[in-house]
Amino acid sequence: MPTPQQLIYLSTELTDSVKSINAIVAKQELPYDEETRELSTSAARLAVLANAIGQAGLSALAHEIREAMGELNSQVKSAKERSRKSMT
Amino acid sequence: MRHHTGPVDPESKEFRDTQAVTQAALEALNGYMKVLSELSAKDVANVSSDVSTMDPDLSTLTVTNPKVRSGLEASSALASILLDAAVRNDLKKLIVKAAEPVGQITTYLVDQAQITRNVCIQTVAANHEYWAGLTTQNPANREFCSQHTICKPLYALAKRALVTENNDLNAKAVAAEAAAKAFQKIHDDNAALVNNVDHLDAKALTEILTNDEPYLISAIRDLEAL
Repeated sequence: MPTPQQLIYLSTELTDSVKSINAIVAKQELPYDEETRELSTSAARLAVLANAIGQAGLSALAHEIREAMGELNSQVKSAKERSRKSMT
Repeated sequence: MRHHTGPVDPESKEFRDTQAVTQAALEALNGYMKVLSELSAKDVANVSSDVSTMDPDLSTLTVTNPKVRSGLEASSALASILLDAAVRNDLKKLIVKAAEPVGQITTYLVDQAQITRNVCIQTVAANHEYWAGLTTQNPANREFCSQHTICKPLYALAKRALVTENNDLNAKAVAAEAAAKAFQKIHDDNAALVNNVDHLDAKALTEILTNDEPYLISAIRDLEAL
């Protein structure tokens, strides 16, 4: 089972490929010829796939991060209290 | 952004949840940074007023003797710095205890910015496909366009709309990539701070004083010898 981080790396790798294809398609004039249209369709399919993988990874990370946020807020609260006591 | 053709649905529950978590993560990180800067900014002057409570005997000493006075001043300065070290100890505690959650949160924010960059690029691809489909010519279109000059300016206008939208998306992708790098730097800085946190303790400060401020130590010894 891939980790959320691995999913995000994979999504970025796929998106970099989409970016390369975008650069080629962007140079063509409308209406696109058959070859360019197929290329744009392939890029869009790859983009949807990359997006699904990336969003899955990010959602998993978002789920994991809640505990870390709670812990950080608690540490910040303790530090504020210690600081207030040291000043009084 | 063409939501009906783009690969992301901003109305989806997952998307909204992720955005909410990102906002909360940014707020938690900002809160941490604020307290860190408040603790770091406490200078000697803020705590030097407490010096008199450190050693009541010091404050009752006559200060007419220059040697005593210099010693008193030196010890006051040293006590102030050591008090400041107590504040630094708070700083150290915060940095050490918050190291892991801060690392996790900054990692998440890097990834969130990276995904935002990815989404912008993915949407450019969706736009290309959308306009490719919209401008696809069937045989009747081809025949019509070969007989009239109206098609060429229409395609030029379509291309202009596509380029404008994609330029905006590409600019957002670059901005998101810059944000990812900025969060990565915060992540790396935090890791470096945690690795060097031992330099913040009172012992290290005393060593620095011994090496860099020897007059303070000798003045204290003079005072003790009286």
